[in-house]
Amino acid sequence: MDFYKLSAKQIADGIRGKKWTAEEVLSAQLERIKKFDKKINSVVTLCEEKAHKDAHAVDEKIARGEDAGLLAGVPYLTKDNFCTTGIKTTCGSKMLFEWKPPYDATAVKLMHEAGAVLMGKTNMDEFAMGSTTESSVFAPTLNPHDITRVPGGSSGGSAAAVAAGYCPIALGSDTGGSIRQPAAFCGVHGMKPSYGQVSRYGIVAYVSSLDQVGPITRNIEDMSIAMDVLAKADRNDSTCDAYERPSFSGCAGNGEIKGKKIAVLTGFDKNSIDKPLVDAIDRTVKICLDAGAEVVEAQLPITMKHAVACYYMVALGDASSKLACYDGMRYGYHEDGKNLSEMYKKSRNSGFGKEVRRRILIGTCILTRGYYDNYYVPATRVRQMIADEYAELFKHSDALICPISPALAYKKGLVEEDPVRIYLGDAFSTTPNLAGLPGISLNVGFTPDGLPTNVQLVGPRFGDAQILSIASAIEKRAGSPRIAELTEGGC
Amino acid sequence: MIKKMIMDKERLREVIGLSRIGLPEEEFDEVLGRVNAVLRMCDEMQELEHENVRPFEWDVKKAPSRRADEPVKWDNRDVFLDQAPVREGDFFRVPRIISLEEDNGVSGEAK
Amino acid sequence: MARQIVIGLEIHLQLNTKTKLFCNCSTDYIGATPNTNVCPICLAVPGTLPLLNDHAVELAVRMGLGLHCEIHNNTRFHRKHYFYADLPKAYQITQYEDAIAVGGYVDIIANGKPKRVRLDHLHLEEDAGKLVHPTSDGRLSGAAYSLVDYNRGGIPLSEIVSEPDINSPAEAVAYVMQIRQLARYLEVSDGEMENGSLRVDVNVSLSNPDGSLGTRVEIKNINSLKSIERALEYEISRQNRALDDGEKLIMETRLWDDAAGVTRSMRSKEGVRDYRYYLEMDLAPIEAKPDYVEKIRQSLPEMPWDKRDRFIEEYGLSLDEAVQLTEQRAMADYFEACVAAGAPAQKCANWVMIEVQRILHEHETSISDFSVNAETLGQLIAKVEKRDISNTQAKDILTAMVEKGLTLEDAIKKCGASGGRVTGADLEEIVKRVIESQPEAAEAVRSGQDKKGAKVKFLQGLVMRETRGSADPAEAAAIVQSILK
Repeated sequence: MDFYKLSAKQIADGIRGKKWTAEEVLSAQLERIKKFDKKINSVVTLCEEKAHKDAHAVDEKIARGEDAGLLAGVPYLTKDNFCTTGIKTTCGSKMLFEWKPPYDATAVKLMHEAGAVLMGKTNMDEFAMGSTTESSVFAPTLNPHDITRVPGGSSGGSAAAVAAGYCPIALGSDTGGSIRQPAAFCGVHGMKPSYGQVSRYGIVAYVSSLDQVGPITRNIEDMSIAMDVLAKADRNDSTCDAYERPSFSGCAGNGEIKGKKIAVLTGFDKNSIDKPLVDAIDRTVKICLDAGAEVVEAQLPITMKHAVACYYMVALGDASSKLACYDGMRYGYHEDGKNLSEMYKKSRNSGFGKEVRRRILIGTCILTRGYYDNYYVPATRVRQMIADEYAELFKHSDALICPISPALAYKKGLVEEDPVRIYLGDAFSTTPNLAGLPGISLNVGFTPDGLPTNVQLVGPRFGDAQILSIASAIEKRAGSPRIAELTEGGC
Repeated sequence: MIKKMIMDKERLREVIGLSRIGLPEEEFDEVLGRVNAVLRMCDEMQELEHENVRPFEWDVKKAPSRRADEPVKWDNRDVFLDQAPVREGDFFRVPRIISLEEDNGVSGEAK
Repeated sequence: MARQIVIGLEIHLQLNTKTKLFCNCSTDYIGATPNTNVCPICLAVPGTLPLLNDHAVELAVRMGLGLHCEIHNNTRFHRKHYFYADLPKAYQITQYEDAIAVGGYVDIIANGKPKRVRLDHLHLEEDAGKLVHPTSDGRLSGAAYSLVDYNRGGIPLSEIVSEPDINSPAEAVAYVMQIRQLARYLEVSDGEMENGSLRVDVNVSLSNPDGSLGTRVEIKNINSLKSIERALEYEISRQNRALDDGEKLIMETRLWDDAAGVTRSMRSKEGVRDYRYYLEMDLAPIEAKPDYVEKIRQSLPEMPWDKRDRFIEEYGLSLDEAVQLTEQRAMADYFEACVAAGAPAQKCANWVMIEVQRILHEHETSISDFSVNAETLGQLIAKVEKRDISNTQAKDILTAMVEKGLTLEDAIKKCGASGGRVTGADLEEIVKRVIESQPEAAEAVRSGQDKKGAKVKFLQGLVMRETRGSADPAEAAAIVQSILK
């Protein structure tokens, strides 16, 4: 059985139906990882012993006729900024290179309770600051569809893992596109839920008011099952909403867009977007029309003009603040100094990579007196204007189609230099975070050269089930993403 | 009226101290360039008519209730202390504190 | 040159919650093994998030209401950034220009004069950890290294900031004492300066002759009420001397050195303290809706000043008596229960302020742990009023109840006071015993040498003592004389 081709639901159904065991599935997937990951470099830590124990526990439950959970025996990987007790959680940084957390993230706990089997941790940009997974302390992850290209970031490892068929579900975190953009580069589906939908407890923070946990999958059905597992109120996170969530898999299964109103974003220069991605949008619009939806054009002038500036203010400021606890005292990388200040400085200078150090400095600059009043404070008001502009749009539409990235997956080591494209990329990916809206990066096909083309579906606040349903309907007609064809061999 | 602020080396030096991160002199221009580029991008936000717009607040469906005042003992304390880089017995140990540069006197202790 | 003294105080109160402000760790840190009341949240382990303590909010509102503040329904927390070993997150979660309680005032009496001190606000924030310096005097200066204990880190504090309405060291002390009394009455805080549950920072300046404000100096490290007075007196005279000499004062923070009796400059560069305050987005706004606040207001006990005034009016006590009796709520409650048990107010007041206080002091207990309850004492005092027993006997009975744990009835029997007055043949018995024990005095009376009756008086006194005051003095004297005729 080629377990790697199966969806999470198929794996779990098979285990429940005693067609195969969790142990069998796990072994097969671990073997696949070991076979291909020397090249792809998606997994930074494998926790085989624990995985076998968990798989065994699921098999025992099944044997006893007990309910082993929604994701019974489904192997998964999670980004290396998710706290896992006793298992290294490095955040792609020298600062936490040996760190083993003393507790589990809520997301990890929920997956475990649902019967999922954690195989290990995936590569990421250092402290989630980046969009190529090249700033990790580990060697960069490569794009499984084309190993001369990057998988995107910062959840590049997780996206690559799903594209490479290591597991049907991987978890990531999204602050300004960090799930959706790598999903687009790797040709899989990735979702950033509404802010407050999923608990952030145990996710090493980057930006308090932007971070969200989300699933990366190869089909929408798996994605909605993952949402059923993850989207729960949590006493450990005051920003996690306490409302009673609907059934996400129930809504997604419906998959009807007849009569729905879909907006498509205009008001930006299409020439700055790679043609296959413009075509992908057009293709998606046609699918919606053919399925009986009403499609209208929409613009977000304030958002497109000011969101990027607003995002930089919010993100850089908070990053400098949340990274201040790394001082080499209670955990993490430590270097001695002849006095306290020097100990802090040496530990932080050596522990943090160059880009992280830069962003801490820039973030501190933004919050310093004078600059805070003239730049940060106006940004918080603009943020409300952006949220209001989206809310107005969603009064008349059920979902918004827009690009997720202006570019197809970049070549390794290449830095995007076109300021317009950089700007657009940030604008498309960061605004759902700013407004706390759900966003799905949906794969709708590949170029003739085999590069993935994704589009983005954004929904109203807490309209996660709604956009899963629409995504499911589009997927029915566009087809599910395909697993990358991998060849063995070293780098 | 947009107030265009330009970050200079003097303030950058202060910021370097405040963030406990070093930066060699030859890299000042690079960092200042990035900071000021961000600031220029943000200048325009000042001109938006937002005097009557309230600062951002989440649109919450159901606020979680506040935590009850009931003590819970953490069972992993020993394991955690064992792994601490600067442990000494039951304490964490830090090198000499030069109080005048660092102390902000918030806890009001004899320094 | 008489410059106007201008003083403002910042008081930090540790709140009486069982857990810390943002996590479930116990607040019972005094005497605890270091770093045992800690958890991933208060150790700032990556990935953790603060969780606001509901009871801390309630206590802050209680104190705010007691201080006549306006409670704001929707306030936020902010981060105050700085690096120091006692601050794991490298930022303190506090409220910056968005306090839960605003305005308010406290009425004090200093040097016999009443005065109203206005408040700026009361806000919530978290405490820092503790540093231990291995030097001979425990101070930082000269320590080659320091040890950090996070047990105290995260304990809820309410900071009360006054307006600069205070104009003398005596007023400053009276103000602190009033805040302390209120905090204890409302059970918001222990308010102990000795163990750090009440901390005071003082700001003082001397106004210029033209009325403009002088240069403000902050004084830290004041650890007792006495030190408040001494530190202010020293600093005021230091500033006066400096200004007289034509020196320019600098706005700075100085530390009070209690041993040397001086304030010392910290020589820190003012203006580099950029805390980069901004909104704490890991926490939701603190909701204190009007009906929530009203419910708390309804549950407040009688304020100490209202109780004091009521005691003067209702019980006819003097100001000093009322102040002393209402100093602690438990004592005031005891007194009132005593009166309710049937004893006259003034007598109860005397008994409580003198006898009971003496016993409490001797046994080092508090009124709440006093073994004799107020009703019992009230009954005892009532008996003295009815002349069933004498005052002296009553003191014995009280002692017997405390030291031997007897009930009132048993103690009365034990002290031989159940018989009421000692008279007639019983009294004669006692007189004879006393006379036999005093042959010299008896002989003096018999032989007629006791012209002025001093010896009779002496013997009478002994008889009264023997009967614990329960005899009629005139009868006693008569029996003495008749026996010795």
